[in-house]
Amino acid sequence: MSDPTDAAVADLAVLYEDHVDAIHAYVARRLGRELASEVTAETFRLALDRVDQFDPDRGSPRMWLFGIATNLIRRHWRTEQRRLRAMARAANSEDREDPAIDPGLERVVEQLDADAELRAVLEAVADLEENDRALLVLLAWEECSHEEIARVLDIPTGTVRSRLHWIRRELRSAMSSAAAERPSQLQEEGTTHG
Amino acid sequence: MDELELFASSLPEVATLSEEERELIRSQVLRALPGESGSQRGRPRHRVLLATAVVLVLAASIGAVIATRPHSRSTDVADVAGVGLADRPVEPGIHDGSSSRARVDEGFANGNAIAASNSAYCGFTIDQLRTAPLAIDGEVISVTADGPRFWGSPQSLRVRVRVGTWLRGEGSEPEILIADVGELGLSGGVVRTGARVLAAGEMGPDGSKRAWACGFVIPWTPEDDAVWAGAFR
Repeated sequence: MSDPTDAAVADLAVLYEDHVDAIHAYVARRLGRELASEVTAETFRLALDRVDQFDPDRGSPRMWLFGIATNLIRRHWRTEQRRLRAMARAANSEDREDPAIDPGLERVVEQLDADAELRAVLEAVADLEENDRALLVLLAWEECSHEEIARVLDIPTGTVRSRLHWIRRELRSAMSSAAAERPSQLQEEGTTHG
Repeated sequence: MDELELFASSLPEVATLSEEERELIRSQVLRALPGESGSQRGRPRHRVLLATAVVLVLAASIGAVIATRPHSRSTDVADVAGVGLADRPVEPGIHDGSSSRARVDEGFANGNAIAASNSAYCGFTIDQLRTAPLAIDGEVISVTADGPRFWGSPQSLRVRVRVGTWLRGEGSEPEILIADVGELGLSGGVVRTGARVLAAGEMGPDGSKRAWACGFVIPWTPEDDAVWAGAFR
């Protein structure tokens, strides 16, 4: 490992100012705020170490930093999995809507269906392989393009597309299963409480 | 709403970084600059350069804030600019890996990967080490590049070890996988046949034993052995 040059160190200062918020937010969304500062700092430490390896022809500095952060996040895949499962458990419209507003029965049923589907999707995401989960998060939460994701994950763009196809199929399958379970649950609840 | 939109709707809200948090992260980056830990690689000029560059940007930012606020914050600016980098102690929880680096310099032909894994950039912390569900002290008996793909690697190293001590976890399968992650760089060097290594990691979703790459696979030394033994006690 070569020592960083003066120019590299100066470059890092600029990178830091331009991207620290985005990197921190990305890590915090995936791992929670407790780990975000530590992983963000580690990201910039590695960036300094490898700044001479940055190739602007292969993508923006932001994506390069996302790539480093993504590699570090992989160490904490269990934390992310637990976090997604907790989000799934918390996916409940009663927590999100104003209880003073009577939404009507039909709206309630629709919302319950949507909650069940969201829970199923989050559970399915928690079960994805780490790279697939990173790919999905980069696409859906960070709004990265396929080309940017390819840069972050260091895989061909075609692979991004094929993996995404497979991931979406998994998520659709989870949503279908959740939808199939809902009528019986409602019926059961109706019998019990009605 | 399709499956992607549904997942996108779950986007967790994250509060903007506070000035204190930015300062904390900045100080963690600065602490890792060469020379900060007092190792043989002392390079105070870089440390000062980055500190100056970041402080200038921060000072400019704070200056902009001052211009828009009724009360002067000159004290805050002085606090930021006056960070005593040269006197900053090494954080107690961070192991500087100096013993391993010395070992690299002495005996390993391909020391870059080892230096990377033990340098302050990529050093393990005792706290991180303590969280590892799996840790061994063992001798590498074979290394092949035919492991499965994970951690962004097209392939991982399949490393068979003769486990001397299970520091945490246990198993009869003497095989660990190490992703040859491009960004973290780990190929050759530490992981070579005959090398005694300390490795920490976790069980993968498929039941494989996966060593964390950066800073968590290191050549065995009595000093590091003591550190690791303490972490897993």
